[in-house]
Amino acid sequence: MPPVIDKEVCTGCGTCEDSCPLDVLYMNDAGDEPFVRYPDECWHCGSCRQECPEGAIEIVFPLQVMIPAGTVS
Amino acid sequence: MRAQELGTDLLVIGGGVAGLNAAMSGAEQGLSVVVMDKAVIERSGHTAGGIDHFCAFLNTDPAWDTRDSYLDYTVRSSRGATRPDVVDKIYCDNLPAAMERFEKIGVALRQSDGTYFRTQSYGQPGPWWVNFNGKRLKPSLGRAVREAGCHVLDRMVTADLLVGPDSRVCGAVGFHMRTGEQCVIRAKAVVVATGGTNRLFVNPTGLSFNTWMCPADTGDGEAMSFRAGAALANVEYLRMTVVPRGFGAPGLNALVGMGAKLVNGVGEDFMTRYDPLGMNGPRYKLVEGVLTELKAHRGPVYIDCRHLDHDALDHLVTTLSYDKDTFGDFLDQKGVDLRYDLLEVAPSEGMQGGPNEVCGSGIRVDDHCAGTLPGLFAAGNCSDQNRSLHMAVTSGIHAGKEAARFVREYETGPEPSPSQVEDIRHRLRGPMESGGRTSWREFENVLQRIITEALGPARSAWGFSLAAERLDRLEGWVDQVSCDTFHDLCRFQELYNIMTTARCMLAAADHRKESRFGLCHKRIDFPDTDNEHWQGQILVARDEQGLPACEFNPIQYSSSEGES
Repeated sequence: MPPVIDKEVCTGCGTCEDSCPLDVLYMNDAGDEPFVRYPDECWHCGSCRQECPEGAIEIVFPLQVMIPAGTVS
Repeated sequence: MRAQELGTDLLVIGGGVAGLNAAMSGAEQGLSVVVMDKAVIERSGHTAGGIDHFCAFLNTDPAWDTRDSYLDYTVRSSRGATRPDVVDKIYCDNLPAAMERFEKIGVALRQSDGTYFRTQSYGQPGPWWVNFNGKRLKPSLGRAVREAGCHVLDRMVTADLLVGPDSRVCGAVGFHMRTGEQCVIRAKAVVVATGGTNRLFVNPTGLSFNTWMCPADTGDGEAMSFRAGAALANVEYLRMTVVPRGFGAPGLNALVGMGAKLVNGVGEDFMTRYDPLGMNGPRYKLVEGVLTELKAHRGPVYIDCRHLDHDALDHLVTTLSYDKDTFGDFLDQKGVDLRYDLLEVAPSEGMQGGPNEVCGSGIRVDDHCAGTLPGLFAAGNCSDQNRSLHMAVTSGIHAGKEAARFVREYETGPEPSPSQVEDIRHRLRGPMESGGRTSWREFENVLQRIITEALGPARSAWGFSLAAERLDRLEGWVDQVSCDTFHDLCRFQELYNIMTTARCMLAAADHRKESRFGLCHKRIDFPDTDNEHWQGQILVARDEQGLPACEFNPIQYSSSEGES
């Protein structure tokens, strides 16, 4: 489920929160750790990963992307 | 809660490429400028994560690399939707300024050796696409706009435009996506630059935000302009592309431009069955080919890059990641190596959009980027003649300059009526206080199903009437939608706009009693293209009840245009 934040590497700077065009990422109440508040609204655009100064973000695609199925249009 | 109040010369709604270019031009002309965007402008809109292609004629070859050649292609490929006189003034006249703008903000269109890397696709007569690394286009533009002194309202969701006496657009009301704080902005002129309309159709992957174009672009500007009384045009057309199956990513242009082929499940290179230009045909023909092969059970359909030489492949993989940063991750996680493997593809979700890369849909603009209401200007993908990065930049520059010209004529802007402000604020309170039992997600799901059934690749009067009746019922359900957070209220505001856009799309599609541009408007009850009666635009504007009323506006082309 994208994005995935490596808490060992993340310094809690909050850059990712401001870099998401879909308002998916939030800082926790203490303001020291980001979390993925709205995973279903991720566009997989990679903006957060590009901006993360620590390289702490990985994009992991959801199952619907890995095994697409169903009728087309 | 009291609302924050601001006054400015120019209000720009939407801080994507078009809006930020308009803001820069407005500031260069000496205007005070307010920019509002649903996200933070350094990473908002369709190019948030990057982009890799810019369409330009560079006058290197009289046979194809000229203004006349571009206009000729525009007419040939979007006959009945494009107005070449408007395109000439907005795009062709402003192309040199657009290329200077890239240099000014520090984003190179040239390769490191000083040359342009150019590719060709979609039936264009030459390699007009300039391939470049646009991964930092938005951060660079955002910084330039702040340095130019524009007042930026990040995370500010626009609820509606304000309209003063004589139907003059004079500002907007918005709310902060996190805090809910409301803002009333009075302006002498407004540039609407909110992008296209996505999340209108069911996403075939089951993930509503897994879209080809930005899922935050939800027809907000078109819907607000329509509610304010402005006309829309070209909104009947369905736009789709071919994406890696499961992944709503752009990239078809790069793949086709570098020479990739579509093949079906029995190994056939099938595109010549659908277009004489084969893989170099228009995008909608590629979609039609893929969809038809799948429906005939000759799938899966793949994109095949294995024949490309290594330099081309290296360039392709790099440029795909400029256009969609996570494309490489997708290939890695799927275990696909384009050198040796086929990549399964499928048609994307639908969106409301113009027929091709050089013609838009939405707010009807004239050659000044002016809408049909005084004080209203539109740029980029939300306006009826502009599409793609090249027209986002040029129309943004043009709209900013033309809005400045308009502003200079007035000492003061009109005062918005307090009752209109209160009506908008009342509507915003509704879902936060309703105690209803329906979530915006349920509402979105039903809305998308209604639209997909009626406005997909097979359309008829029967389908339109069914959808209209269901939309009436859905509109009656609005009071039962409940939002817990202002983030959710933003999402519901987006659906409110999508519903407005859908009504306009439905009305225009019903009005156009012919078929045009392949699957873009394919009516099973009027299957033929009828240039005698329908070569032109359908203008949609609200009637006295607020419902969409259509008027056909024929377009005459000179005999030499678009015939080659």
